Amino acid sequence: MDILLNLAMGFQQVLTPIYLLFVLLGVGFGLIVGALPGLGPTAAIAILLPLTYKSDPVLSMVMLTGIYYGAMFGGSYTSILLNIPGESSAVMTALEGYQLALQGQASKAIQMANMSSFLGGTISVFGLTVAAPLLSKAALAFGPPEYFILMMLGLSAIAFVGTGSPVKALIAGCFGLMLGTIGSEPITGAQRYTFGSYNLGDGIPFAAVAMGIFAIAEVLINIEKGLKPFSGKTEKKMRIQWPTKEELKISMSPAFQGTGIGFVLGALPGVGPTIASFLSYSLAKLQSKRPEKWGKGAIEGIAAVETANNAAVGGAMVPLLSLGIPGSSATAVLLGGLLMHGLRPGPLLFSEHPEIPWGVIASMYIGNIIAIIMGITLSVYFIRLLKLPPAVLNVIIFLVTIIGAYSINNNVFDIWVLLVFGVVGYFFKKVGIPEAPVVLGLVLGPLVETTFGQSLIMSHGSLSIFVQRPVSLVLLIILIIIYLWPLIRFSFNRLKYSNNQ
Amino acid sequence: MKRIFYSGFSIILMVAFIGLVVTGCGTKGKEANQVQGGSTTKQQEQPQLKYPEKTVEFVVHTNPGDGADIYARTIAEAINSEKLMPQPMMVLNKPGGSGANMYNFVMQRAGDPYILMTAQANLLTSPIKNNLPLSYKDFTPVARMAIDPLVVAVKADSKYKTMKDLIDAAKVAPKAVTQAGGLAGATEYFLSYIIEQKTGVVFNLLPHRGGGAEAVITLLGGNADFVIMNPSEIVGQVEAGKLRVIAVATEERLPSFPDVPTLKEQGIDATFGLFRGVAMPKDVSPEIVAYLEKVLKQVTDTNKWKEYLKNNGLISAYLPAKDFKAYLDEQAPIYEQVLKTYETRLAN
Repeated sequence: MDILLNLAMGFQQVLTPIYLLFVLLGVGFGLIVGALPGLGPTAAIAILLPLTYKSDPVLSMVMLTGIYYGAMFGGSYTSILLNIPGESSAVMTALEGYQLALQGQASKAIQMANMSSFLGGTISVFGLTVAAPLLSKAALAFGPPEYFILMMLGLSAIAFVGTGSPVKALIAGCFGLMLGTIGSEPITGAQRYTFGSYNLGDGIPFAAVAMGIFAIAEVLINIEKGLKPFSGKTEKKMRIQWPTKEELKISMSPAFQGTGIGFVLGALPGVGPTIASFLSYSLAKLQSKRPEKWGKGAIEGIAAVETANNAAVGGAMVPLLSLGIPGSSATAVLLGGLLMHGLRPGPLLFSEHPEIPWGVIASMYIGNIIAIIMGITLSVYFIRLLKLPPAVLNVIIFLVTIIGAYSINNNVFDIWVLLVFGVVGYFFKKVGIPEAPVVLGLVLGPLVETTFGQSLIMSHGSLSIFVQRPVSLVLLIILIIIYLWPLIRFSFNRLKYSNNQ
Repeated sequence: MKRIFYSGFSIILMVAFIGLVVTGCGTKGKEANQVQGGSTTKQQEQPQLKYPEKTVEFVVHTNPGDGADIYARTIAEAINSEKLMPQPMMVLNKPGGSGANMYNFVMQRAGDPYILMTAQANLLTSPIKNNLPLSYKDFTPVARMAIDPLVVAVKADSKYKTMKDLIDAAKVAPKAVTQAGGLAGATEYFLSYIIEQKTGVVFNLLPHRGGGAEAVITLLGGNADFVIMNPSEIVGQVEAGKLRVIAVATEERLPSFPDVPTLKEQGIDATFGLFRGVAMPKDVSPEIVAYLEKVLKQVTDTNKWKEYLKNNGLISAYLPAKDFKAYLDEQAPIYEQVLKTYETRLAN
């Protein structure tokens, strides 16, 4: 009942012209930033933060949060149309969506992404509304050992996110893990493989790698093929295409599952949308009745990924609003926004300044509606990109990714990383090594290493810590079953076979 | 064909425009800031010194919203709204490379009197940790503004009520008590090092990639015994009754935690806090440093600044350029020694 009253209060506040305008501005800016490669929601919020220094704290929070989920919406567009993952969490969208675009189904893929984003976003805000205090308590039960096993679970996704030969996927995954060791060692702070360059001190800039290996490599391949027009059967009519009933039906279960995974993992500090999207994709692929279609344009894959990364935003707001602790880099900047207004974020935010959390929550419901309307409208224009002559389009992709890479840290070094990995990605494509596991390894490697080191520090070097803690034990059992699953299935089938004999 | 050309052309324009907007936004924000402070009507106080004749940039080594950024913005805001300088001051963020990006940027502007930068613990630690070919001596200290004190906090239901409880537990065995902290070698491990030296215990150090916020989560989840943090990082948790402060590392008790005794009161002769100051590039004329040091002194008298100190639990600790330089010379070897012992502390 309290929740309803507070939410009504939030809506009352947000449903005024000035608030709606700020939500609209935030979501619109987020959509563009998300669609453009490089500059992610974190950087976008950071850029706009000083502008809101003078405005009312609720107003600025509403707008800055709008950028956050708006960017998740927008991340899918360039992934689908141009194979440029605008966000790290949209890498898997690129994998399926670009294939669909090549088959002339770009519009359909984008509408699926829009609908999934809306579904994931809205359900997770609902979750945030009703379950924030509960979930934040549960999140605290996760210590380093639990995170370690969760990250190992995430690594198992390498087997699913690669298309084609498992050995090649493994090569790509290991390559990513090796890249992840560059930079400061997480426990001792020692510098590894930086060759004395401070540019590598924070590790290989991850977004530049993803853009290079996907987008630049694609451009190189296109040039090699002689810049043929985008696709033989580009839609003549630039009308909105909706997914068919059949496609919606098979997307239903991945979508709801993705929402759940995204929301829960988003609420765990330090996990975030990228891992959620990879896990959601893998799980959906595992259950799919047509796994052979995945990696070649499975529309339900988009549903799994886009629900997960959008639901993760609602999840990430849980620790921020209920504990006053940021769970991701984007929410850390949002927290900075609260501090900038002289507020003290903490567990008392809900009782001392209820207008802030409830205003933000209410604005997220409205913002998601605004985002899907804007997304569907904009998609009509975005798709026209594909009508450009390939010679122009590839140049645009090239330029936009270079600007994007530079804009991450305003550092020219990132452009070199982009170009180098463009060439690496080109050779990977030539020999059929999938790109996605590289990204996964690079994201997860440092996390696996950190949490493993932390666990051993906690236990004074004993591995038993992973079985002594109940949550970690349960996760460990799940992990072992998943890793041994192919073996179990194999022996099970053999048993059945010999019985039949 | 014509239509395709036009739509293509418009999209190129659009993308270029968006690119410009996005990359240009950082500067736009500052322009907005400087408009309101941009009053050139007030006469300069020292007519012989023609400074400043244009906007002064205050470079910050972190993203907007971080502690250092809020600190810099408060100073800029105080100067602009109270018109302490005839020209406005604008804040410029140069994050990345744990400070290295900013230091390189400022190094390249040697002699430029229109560049200020944040000078805090990072200036002493980052060059050592990241093997940078520079040190604090490559910059001109202008003033120390404040000290961000450090406090020792435990979970509210922890069995440790005083420092004595904590030290006694730590004496049972080396590494029996765990400190959760931020990045490897971060400043929160400095105070624990000093405590270790004074009491002869060895703490178990648990670093976090995600920084102090993650360490607080680990503490709240009961996976560590204590944290050492700036008051602003934990005050929300303390007010909500989730964490408890058991000691402050200052000479005198903190106004924000009047009931919490200092380390000294509890028999541990250790005081340590993180300084927040302002520095400039090398080779700036002494008159300009003197002028800015005076402006910054005036900042400390503004309400804006006092409110900032109160909100963030900082202690006013102004030092003019000469004394700030002496302070840095005195602190640098301490920081260096603590950093050098950090790895061996982990290995023990």
